[in-house]
Amino acid sequence: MGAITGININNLFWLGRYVERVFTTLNSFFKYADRFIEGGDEAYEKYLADINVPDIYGSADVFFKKYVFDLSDPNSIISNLDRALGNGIVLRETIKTPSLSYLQMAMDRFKACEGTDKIRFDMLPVRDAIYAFWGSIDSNMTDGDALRIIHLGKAVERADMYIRLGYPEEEFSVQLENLVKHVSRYSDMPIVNNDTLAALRSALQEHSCLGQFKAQIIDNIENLIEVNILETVTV
Amino acid sequence: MNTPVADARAINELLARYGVKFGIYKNGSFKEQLFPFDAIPRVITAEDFADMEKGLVQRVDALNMFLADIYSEGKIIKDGIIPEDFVYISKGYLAPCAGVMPPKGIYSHISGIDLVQAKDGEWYILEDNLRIPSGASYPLIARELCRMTSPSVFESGKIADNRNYASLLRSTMDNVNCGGINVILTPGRYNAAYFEHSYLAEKTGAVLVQNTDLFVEDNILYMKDYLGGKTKVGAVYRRISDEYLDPLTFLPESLIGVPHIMDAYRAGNVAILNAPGNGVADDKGIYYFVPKMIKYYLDEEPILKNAPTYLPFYEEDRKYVLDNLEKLVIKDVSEAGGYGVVFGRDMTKEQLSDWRTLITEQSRRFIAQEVIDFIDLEVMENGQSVMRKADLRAFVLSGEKTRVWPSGLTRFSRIADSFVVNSSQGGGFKDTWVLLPE
Repeated sequence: MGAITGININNLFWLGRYVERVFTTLNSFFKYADRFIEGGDEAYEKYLADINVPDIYGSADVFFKKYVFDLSDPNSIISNLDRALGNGIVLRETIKTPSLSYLQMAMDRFKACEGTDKIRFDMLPVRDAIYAFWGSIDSNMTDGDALRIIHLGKAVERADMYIRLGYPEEEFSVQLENLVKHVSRYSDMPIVNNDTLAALRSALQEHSCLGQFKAQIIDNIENLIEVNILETVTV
Repeated sequence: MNTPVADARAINELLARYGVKFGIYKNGSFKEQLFPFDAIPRVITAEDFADMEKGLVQRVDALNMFLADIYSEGKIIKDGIIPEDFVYISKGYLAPCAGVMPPKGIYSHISGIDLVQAKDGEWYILEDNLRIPSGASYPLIARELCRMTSPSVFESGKIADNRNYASLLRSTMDNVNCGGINVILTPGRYNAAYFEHSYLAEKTGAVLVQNTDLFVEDNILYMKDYLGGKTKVGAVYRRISDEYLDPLTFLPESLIGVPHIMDAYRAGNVAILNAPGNGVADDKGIYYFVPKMIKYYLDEEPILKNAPTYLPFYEEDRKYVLDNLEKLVIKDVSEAGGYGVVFGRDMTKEQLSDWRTLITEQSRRFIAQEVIDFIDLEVMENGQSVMRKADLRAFVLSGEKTRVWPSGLTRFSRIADSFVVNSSQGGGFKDTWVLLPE
């Protein structure tokens, strides 16, 4: 673990989070995109409300373009992919060049989809590249601790996004349970906040209606791993 | 033998996918650009390379001896071979390095020597880069991709495999390592050569660090990890300039340096590659004297020639330069990267007159060279074959022995008749094939 610097740990954790954020957001967006086929503006407004993103778009058409493809919109999916790539670039020697190339490939494919009228189909290679990225880091990374930190980022983001995106309780509770199990395995790592871990564990055991405690759960998830450096320095 | 590898588009797409880029600052903002790859390689015969190799080893060995000399006894000055005006007032001469002998006496561990081939086949040295020469990573990764896309081209087994650069670099670092890990010190993500820093770290197994990851305690350099632990650093392949290396020794306003790293270096506890202070030996003014250095230190005739060069500092040379300005190329000794280079043939009468005045007034600031009519290389442009000027940066690594990497960075101009090949000015690159002996 000695070779991981303070800057690196931040990048590793946020790399995992941002890649997962893109993946989960895309999946969620695709469901709404399917509804847009017959729907109208209402559908996009509900989607934004669910994910707690302000409606700066004004219409479904603008939303489609900007929320997905506008790099100047910090909430857009491509902005999150850009942050994932930014973290990957500074970790080349740790995650290895083939892994980084899948992120670059995801970005290139993503950009090439702008203007498409069949977004779910054309974006399939983006998802493929993300799947390949996860396979590549598992296969190529030689630093087990660094790999674990990326996966911690992924697990945190998955649970966090499932709650924020309004997934049904039976789905997000599964992700939360997975997160708690995952983090428990590494509870001896100094970046794990064991108090928060215990709080999440007891929430799972004691509450049958987790949905009532969403805000508290999100807060606990956000504080579960402490990398101590602002995410914004990395991108 | 100069069979093109697969079409350049395929390779360039792969280079983009692998993030092979360089950064430039233009109009105040940072942009990353691809370095255009041309599919037709430069081919160097085994015989040519053997001569070049001997010449480069000779030159770099002499330059290392020169650096060891001028930072200690300065015998070459006392013996009147080089005027002290070209040493102690050079911007590259760093007084804090005087009396400091780097581990194993090696100053320039990684030397990038720029050459051109004249139409008569003769190779000429254009300049020596002994500070932080960059560019090896581009042909290194390009070869990997070419072998992927065009394996049949390499079937003959006649082309030297250049993929040993990382192991050569690793052994160069290990050779001077003072006990501890090897690190590559980068100024960060927005440096022009960041791709190279991260790629070489990956390939050599060195840890890529920024200044905030390092600290000095009791004259020992450490890398700190996120747990608050520390690991001793034995060798730093630094990719930041001398003046930013240690704010307590050089520029106090440097935010990318490591305070006290020079103390650790002076104490012999860490190797810095390349050694601080090398700039005095790759100054364009000192270039003129390298053949004299070879004779002085090695008692040998230089194998590789300098481009015919004149120093306006000397009255006889100044007269020649002023009389022949329109056919010469003038270089400002303090500039690099293709900047500060002007051709007399492109000047108006008024400009020639202004330059004559400037050269007379600031004779130490400029050198003048005959324009070498170097060969054009075939380049594919929009599906058409065109001829373009190209140079070669050869990489010489000084470890236990001095070795020349059997490859190099061939850069070409993308503008017809232009002699400026620098990537920062829009140039492209080719793979460089060194053929193995029959």
